[in-house]
Amino acid sequence: MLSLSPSEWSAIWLSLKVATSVAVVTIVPAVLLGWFLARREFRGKMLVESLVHAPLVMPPVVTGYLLLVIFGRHGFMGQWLESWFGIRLIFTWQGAVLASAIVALPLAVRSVRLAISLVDQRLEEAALTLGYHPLRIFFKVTLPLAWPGILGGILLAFSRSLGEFGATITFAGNIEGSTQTLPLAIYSALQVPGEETVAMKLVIASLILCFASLFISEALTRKAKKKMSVTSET
Amino acid sequence: MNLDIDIYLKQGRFLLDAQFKCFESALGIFGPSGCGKSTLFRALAGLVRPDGGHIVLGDVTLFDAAQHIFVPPHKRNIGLVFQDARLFPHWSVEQNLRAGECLKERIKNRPYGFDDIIDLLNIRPLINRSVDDLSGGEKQRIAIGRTLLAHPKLLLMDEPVTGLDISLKMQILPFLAKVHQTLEIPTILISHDLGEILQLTDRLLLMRDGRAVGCNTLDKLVQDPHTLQELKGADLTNLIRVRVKQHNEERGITQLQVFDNPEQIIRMEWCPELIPGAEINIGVSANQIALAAGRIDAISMRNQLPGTVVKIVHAPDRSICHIETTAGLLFVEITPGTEQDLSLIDGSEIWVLFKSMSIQRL
Repeated sequence: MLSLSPSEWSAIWLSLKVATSVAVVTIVPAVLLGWFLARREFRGKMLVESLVHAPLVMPPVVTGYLLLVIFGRHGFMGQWLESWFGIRLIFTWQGAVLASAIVALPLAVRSVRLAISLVDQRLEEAALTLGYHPLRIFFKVTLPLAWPGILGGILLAFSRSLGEFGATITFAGNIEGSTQTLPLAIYSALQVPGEETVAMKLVIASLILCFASLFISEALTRKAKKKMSVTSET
Repeated sequence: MNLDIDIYLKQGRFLLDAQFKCFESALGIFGPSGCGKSTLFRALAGLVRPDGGHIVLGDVTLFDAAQHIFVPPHKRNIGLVFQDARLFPHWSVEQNLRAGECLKERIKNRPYGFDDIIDLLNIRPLINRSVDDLSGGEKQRIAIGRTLLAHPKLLLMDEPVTGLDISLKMQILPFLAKVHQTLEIPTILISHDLGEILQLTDRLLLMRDGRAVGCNTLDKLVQDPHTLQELKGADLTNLIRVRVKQHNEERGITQLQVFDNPEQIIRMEWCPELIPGAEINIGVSANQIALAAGRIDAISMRNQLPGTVVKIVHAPDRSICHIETTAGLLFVEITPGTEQDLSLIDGSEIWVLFKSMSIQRL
């Protein structure tokens, strides 16, 4: 049953490529935003929080539409990228990465924020009195202690982008071999009468991928929490 | 240490408003919990920014509200040992100890090395252990070592032994004085136990309700009724500098010579680990001393010193009689009844009696 055709394999392969790219590009913004939200009080924090979390509650198709408006041929970012760098995101797999990343970022930020807020600030104070520059503290104390939680968040973003549908199909389109990820391929298969077995195979493949990545993400988050509870006892 | 502090800091409903200067190399801060001792340390280390005033250490202005000066904590070179050791859980004991050593600039002129501190604090057996496997006292010793190895120009210790039981305290306290004498790093120690401070210094800053209410040596503080009242609840201890003379195992005593008056011998419980000739500090609690009109031979009090009453200070809840004796000026806690029965007045000739068992080693 699980013998897959080349186009089905390409959908799986593309999904993994997009999800991995999402994981890579969200690390830095997620860690920065998570750190700011966990450690800093600033004016407009609520606004930043709402903006970051908006894709979590917005219909993905709306996210996709907004991306079209901003990064499309006539969008200001789209025009700018094209005229300066010759980069076109719309209807490319990189566009699928952007759409998935925007949708997945809030999940990553939430995990990172939690992980960083669990790092005992008293340890950061101790490092300050030892002469550590705040940047050094971030890399030597905060980041290593929050790392399992951060990794969990990144994996969550990975899992989320494996399942991304609405924003991707709106912004990147449903082009086989180029932007047709697993959920899009399932959707296409369901549109064609008699293709139910293909759809079923792809659904099973999708389930396996999602559960595997969620399982790893959960395991890492637990490890992080355990580490934190040891810290708070000392 | 040449420290000049005048700070004002409001934290919620708590107000810290403390002024004092300190020129000695060691200072103890004494006061009830919640009086602002720790907040004062945090301001000194730069972990909080006061709302007003200034902090000057030596020739460096660390903070001055009027001139908008605030040296950030990592540039202050002030080591702070916290009550809760705060070791980094993701590092080994040795990595913790060497935490400050990665800052080459800061430790460039450090006159002592890693091994000196390891030996001084007797922590060599702990180096290969995991941080989680250390006891509270061991953690605290590592924390002290970590701070010392970062080469601070001022060492702050915030109740480093509070919460540890007495045997653990005795694993740490003797090191504090040793560290201070050996490394010559100016030290400020916070404690709510006067005995702990006296192991390091008899120079005290008294704090209450966020204010500095007295800064002087203990014997001076005890002579002033106001500061005596601030010492309420403290176990007032006389500090006597002595030289170990000889042991008398049969009689179960060790003879000590008063440092300033070698003729005067003080007998303490036999303490074989003291080396004859060594100079040590001993403490005699003010409420462990008895007064008598004359010498009493048939009594178990091994120490009887003649003296003259210099001054009697009355605070609302206690009276302290200051007596110039052959072992120096001692303060003795007395009840109003004693004062009447012995008709104590300034200039009275009196004998001071205390048991060899009542002597503490500081």
